Amino acid sequence: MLIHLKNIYKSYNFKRQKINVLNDVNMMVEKGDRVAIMGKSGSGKTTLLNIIGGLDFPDSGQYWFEEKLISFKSQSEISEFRRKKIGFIPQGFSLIDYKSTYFNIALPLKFRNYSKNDIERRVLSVAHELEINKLLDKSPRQLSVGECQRVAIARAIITSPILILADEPTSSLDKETEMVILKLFDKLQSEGTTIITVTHDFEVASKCRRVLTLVNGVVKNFSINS
Amino acid sequence: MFKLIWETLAQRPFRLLLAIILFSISLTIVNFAIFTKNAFASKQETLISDATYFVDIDFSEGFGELYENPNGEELLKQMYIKLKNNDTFRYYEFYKQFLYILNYSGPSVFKYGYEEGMEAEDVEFGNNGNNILASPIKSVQVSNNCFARFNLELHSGRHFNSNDFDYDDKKQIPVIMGYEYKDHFNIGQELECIYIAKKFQLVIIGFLEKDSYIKAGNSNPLYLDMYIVMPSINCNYKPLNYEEKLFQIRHYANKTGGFLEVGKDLSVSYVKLILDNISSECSLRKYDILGQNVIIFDLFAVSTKQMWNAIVILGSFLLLISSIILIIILIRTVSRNIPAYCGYLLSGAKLITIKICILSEIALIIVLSNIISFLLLFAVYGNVYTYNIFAVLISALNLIITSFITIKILNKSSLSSYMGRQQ
Ligand SMILES: Nc1ncnc2c1ncn2[C@@H]1O[C@H](COP(=O)(O)OP(=O)(O)OP(=O)(O)O)[C@@H](O)[C@H]1O
Ligand SMILES: [Mg+2]
Repeated sequence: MLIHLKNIYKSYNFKRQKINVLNDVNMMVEKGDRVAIMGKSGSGKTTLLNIIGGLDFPDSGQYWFEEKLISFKSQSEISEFRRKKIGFIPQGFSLIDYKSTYFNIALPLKFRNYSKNDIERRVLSVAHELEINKLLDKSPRQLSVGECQRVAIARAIITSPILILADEPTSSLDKETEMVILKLFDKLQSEGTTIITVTHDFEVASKCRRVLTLVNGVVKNFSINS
Repeated sequence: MFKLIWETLAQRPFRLLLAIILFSISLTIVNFAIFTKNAFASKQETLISDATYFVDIDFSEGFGELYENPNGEELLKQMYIKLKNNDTFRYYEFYKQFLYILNYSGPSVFKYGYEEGMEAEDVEFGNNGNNILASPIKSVQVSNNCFARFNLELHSGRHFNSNDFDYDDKKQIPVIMGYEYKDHFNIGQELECIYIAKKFQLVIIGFLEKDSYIKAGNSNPLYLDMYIVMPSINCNYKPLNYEEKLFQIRHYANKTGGFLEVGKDLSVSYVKLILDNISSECSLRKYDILGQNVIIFDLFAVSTKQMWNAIVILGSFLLLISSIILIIILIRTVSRNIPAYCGYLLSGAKLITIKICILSEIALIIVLSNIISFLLLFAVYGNVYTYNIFAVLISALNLIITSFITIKILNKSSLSSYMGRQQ
């Protein structure tokens, strides 16, 4: 079992009011699986994804990753977990807009102390795959939304993580480019990568083996695609 | 890791630079104004240490205005008292004013200018119809503290006592002669002299040890063997006629043109500032510092403590505004950069590393502003005491406020909730 979430609760305080975002979420994902998370806007999809990716912490509940309990208390443990296991494609892309696209894609490798040649080779190959190899010298400010999305995807997959968390990765793409991404995910999955995607798009969801539906922070359905 | 993240705040360099410059300038103004204001109080707490130097000062105004001023001599007397009682320096009266000795019988070597080969001429003074021949003889006038400070020892006779410095228009004035005089004059011998156009009765009370000299600062030592040492007298009476008034003005101009002994921790410019303050308090325009490079701010001569108080308040206000501008620009830059920080986080940076990086950038910016201000002040004053704790406190406060807000913005859940939003 790659991921095991048990009794996860999460709430935010907003203007002195407590908003329950996740209510007793339970979820298991096997290695190599492909899962879609669906639900209305505000249902807690991003929050769940952030917790799985170690970017946020639950108020209560347990999270095992590869049978190991994740301790959200230890900053260094959690950041090592993120660095070693996770490729994250955030909904807002989170690109460093005052650096080049190349820098953005290469940064995870730089943090992992790859050599300059290795970095260049990898960045070029990933960029080629995502058809953004002409944009490497530009700054993210000069890119279209769809291009930014692909840069964020490139940054997430460049370290070949075992788990890819994608928050609506194709929301800003045209059908043609969406197909490129889905093919890429197919390929990654065939190589053993686990992929969890938040999506509103049934076509994207249909590519997944399982679909988890959130309604107001409660798991309504976690079924195998027919 | 740091190297990759560093520079997150330099994204809008123009604005940031402007904020830094504004902040530095207002720091400088506040420091400068506080320092200057405090200098007016002229109660410098720094004690004069063993490491001192001498500042030679000179009254450099024309006498004309003082002659016409009904209080002319009073102003100089006030100035003298203030010099003597100032806590920042020790004051030594020590100036050369030759004497015309009437019916001089000694050798020519003692005559003014003789050694330099430019012996001054004898002159005739009218004295009740009879003309008396008077010879210009070398003489120095000193205050009593010179004896101890310059280790002046006697060969014979007695030292001056404090009484000898008070003059009441009738008294004989005791004098101590240089060593070379001892073969030509005797203790107890009386002389008549003219000092600045006024006649005095002198009486010899002693002779200096051989090779006695006074050396103040970088000036050449003045050997006193051929000099008459006369007390720098205090005229504790109001001049009764115009002639006496002129005498007192010229005499007190001499008396206020002595030497200041100053602790090495105080710069000449600072001394100049204090001197200007004192003299403007006495409504005297100008005292010069001789032989030293001083940046002269004529501004001080006409300014008052109240004025500098106002500048302190204005400067503080400017500092407040520039602090707010700096904080706002820094915070806005941080907020604007949140997606970038998320990018670093997702790429594998630790949150704590990002925070440290941003905070150290903020600290660097504020420290840099202080250094700029410090250097500006140092360039102007050449003095490290100019820097005020108030400015440091304000800077520290800015640092704390900015850091606090930054940390709040970067809190983990607000960063992660950001990632759920569209860019
Ligand atoms: N930091 C926060 N403070 C307060 N409320 C928050 C915070 N982050 C999220 N929320 C709230 O939690 C709820 C769930 O947010 P989340 O981003 O998980 O929704 P979502 O399912 O991803 O929605 P969308 O489809 O629009 O992306 C929302 O109501 C949101 O307003
Ligand atoms: Mg979302």
